[in-house]
Amino acid sequence: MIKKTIILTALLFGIFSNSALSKQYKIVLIHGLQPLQLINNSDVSAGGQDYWSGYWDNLADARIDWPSYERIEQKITTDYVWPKLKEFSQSNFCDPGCIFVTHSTGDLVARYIIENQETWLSNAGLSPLNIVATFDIAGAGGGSELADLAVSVAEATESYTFLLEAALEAWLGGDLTDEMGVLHDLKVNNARQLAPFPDSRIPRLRFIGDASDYLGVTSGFIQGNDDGVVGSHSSCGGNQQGHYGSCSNLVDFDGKLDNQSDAITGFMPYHYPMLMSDSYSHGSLLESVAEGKVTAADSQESLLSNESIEFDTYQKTKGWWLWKSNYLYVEDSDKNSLSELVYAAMPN
Amino acid sequence: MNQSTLIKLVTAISVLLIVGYLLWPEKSQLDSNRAGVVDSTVKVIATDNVIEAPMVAIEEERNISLLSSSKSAFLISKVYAGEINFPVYSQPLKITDFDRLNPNHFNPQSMPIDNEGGVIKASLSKYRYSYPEPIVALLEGEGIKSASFSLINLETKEVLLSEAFQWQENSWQLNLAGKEDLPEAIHAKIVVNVDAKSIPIVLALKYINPIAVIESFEPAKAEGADMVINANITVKEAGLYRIRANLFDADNHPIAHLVSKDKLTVGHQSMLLKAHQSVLQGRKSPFYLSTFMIELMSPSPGIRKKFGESLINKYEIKDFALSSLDTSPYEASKQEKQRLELLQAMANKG
Repeated sequence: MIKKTIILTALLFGIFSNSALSKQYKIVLIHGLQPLQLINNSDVSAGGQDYWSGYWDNLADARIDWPSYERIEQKITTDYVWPKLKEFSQSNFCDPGCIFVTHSTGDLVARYIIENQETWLSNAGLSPLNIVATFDIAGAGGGSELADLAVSVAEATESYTFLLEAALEAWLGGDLTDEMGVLHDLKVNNARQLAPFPDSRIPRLRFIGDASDYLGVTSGFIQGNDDGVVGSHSSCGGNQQGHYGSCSNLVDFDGKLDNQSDAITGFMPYHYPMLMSDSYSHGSLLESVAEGKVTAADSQESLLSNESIEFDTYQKTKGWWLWKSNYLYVEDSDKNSLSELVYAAMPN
Repeated sequence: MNQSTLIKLVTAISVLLIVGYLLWPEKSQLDSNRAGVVDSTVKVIATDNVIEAPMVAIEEERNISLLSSSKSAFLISKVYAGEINFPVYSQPLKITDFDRLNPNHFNPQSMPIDNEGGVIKASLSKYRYSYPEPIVALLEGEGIKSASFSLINLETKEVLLSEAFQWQENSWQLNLAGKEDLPEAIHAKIVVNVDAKSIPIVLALKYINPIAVIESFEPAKAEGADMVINANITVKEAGLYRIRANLFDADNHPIAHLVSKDKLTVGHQSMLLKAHQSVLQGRKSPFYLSTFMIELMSPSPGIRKKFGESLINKYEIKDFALSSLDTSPYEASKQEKQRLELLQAMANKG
């Protein structure tokens, strides 16, 4: 009996020593588009686990997995999101506070949840969830121009140009089928009209990349700086589509401190860009491999100029004379991946 | 000095500068005297003059072990703290809040037609139309011979309406009469004939039958710290409704985004829009309301939100005395305070 108790205690210790449980809030993962699911209706849960296996899966308390071949307002919600919301409510899972960590289209799914969960759960006689914040990595809440193109081209694939065909194949990993699913939701106009102004004032912290997984082949079709899949208008949380060069009017994606005349000027409600980097692509933002330096992405110039702040970023100067430039980096960001920085930023 | 000598001298100096620049060893330097607004606000960790030392060495010498984004979190916590000082039903509105000022905006959509950068751009006059409004579309691009527009049921692929674009006033335009009881899930397929090719462009849109109508407003009155305006609404479908409106001052500057939610039954109903005193102080009256939205919230998963319409485009608020309002501040909710605590905890890390 004692032996069993020791083993059980050890097992429990092993489970609870998981670093997710050392955090103050519950971490819930919501993944993004899985293009191969548009071609092959694979297992949703296994797909979700695999999606986050690079870094986050072992750190999280729960995942909301959904299939890319369905629509957000329909089966994604009824068959995949709603059962999780009910489960969370019935088990008081989010009572200490939940942080949703989203990637790509997961940003849009989270916004739809934030808009509706209180009404749905209350109408079902359940308590609403206590969602404290979302950490949106490469957020696609503003849609992607690639989805606009994919849905159009699917109507007549003979209209492909060589570059467009290369871009869509690189992104989707294969030929288009009739199964467009969540790509409809990811069209820029649909995305920007899906629950754009939730009443709950949940802070949505944005983490943004500016490199490409596809050697830049998709970038020519995306407005503004991009991470290979979404433009900065979306990932920064900008309140309109546009050709934006930075989330911040003070800092460029590479950390260069300079007036950014093409920066985003207006954000969706309670969307706050936090970290950005030109070293990370849409996919690599999720991984545990350090790709390069990361910079702070705040654009609150009035705060920067009015507050006396000490923080853990450092500046360095590159170049000589006319070519001298000043850069701002997050400490040790060249040694730790952006996902590691995000996790480290969460309160213990 | 003749002209030839001058040219030689300038050329020589230029060559020397270029050679000097190219051969100059790549060095980095920390610069505590950096110009710009951030100078006075950012902690510069190393301030020694290290012009002669390579950056790599400096980074190694610093031996920094902190890994934190607390600076960003600090700024965000300050901004969030400022935002929750205002009630959710009366949030300050800025000229840069494009989405709240233009909630029915349609983003033009481009489609490449060749590998040389040629594109066709298609746009609608708005994203969401209410019956019986016509759908208005525009095409831009070189070499368009003709174009057609079809409204398609996304689930059955049935063509619901179709019409050809017309060349009018130097552009390809479409003005398509609406239809009652169109399905919820539709999209528009445009086929453009250009350079002997048929280029498809699929546009997202909604065409709705309004389930409620904002008919009129009652004169504003003071209730505690709020200026309250009663909206009269005809409701065709019962449920939880949300109305939104933007409040502007006499100079047409945005003041606040007002939001109200209430359960309504079918028939003549009313909902209150409230503007908190904290957004009104110092603003020039008379104020007016505009950009109205009325939504029937999704009651359960799988049922989409529905929309109503407003018969009023602009409602001017006359004879309202700001002095009649209490000046008590708004206090954030418990959940909002917890969210702020999260941000502050992040800011204090490291």
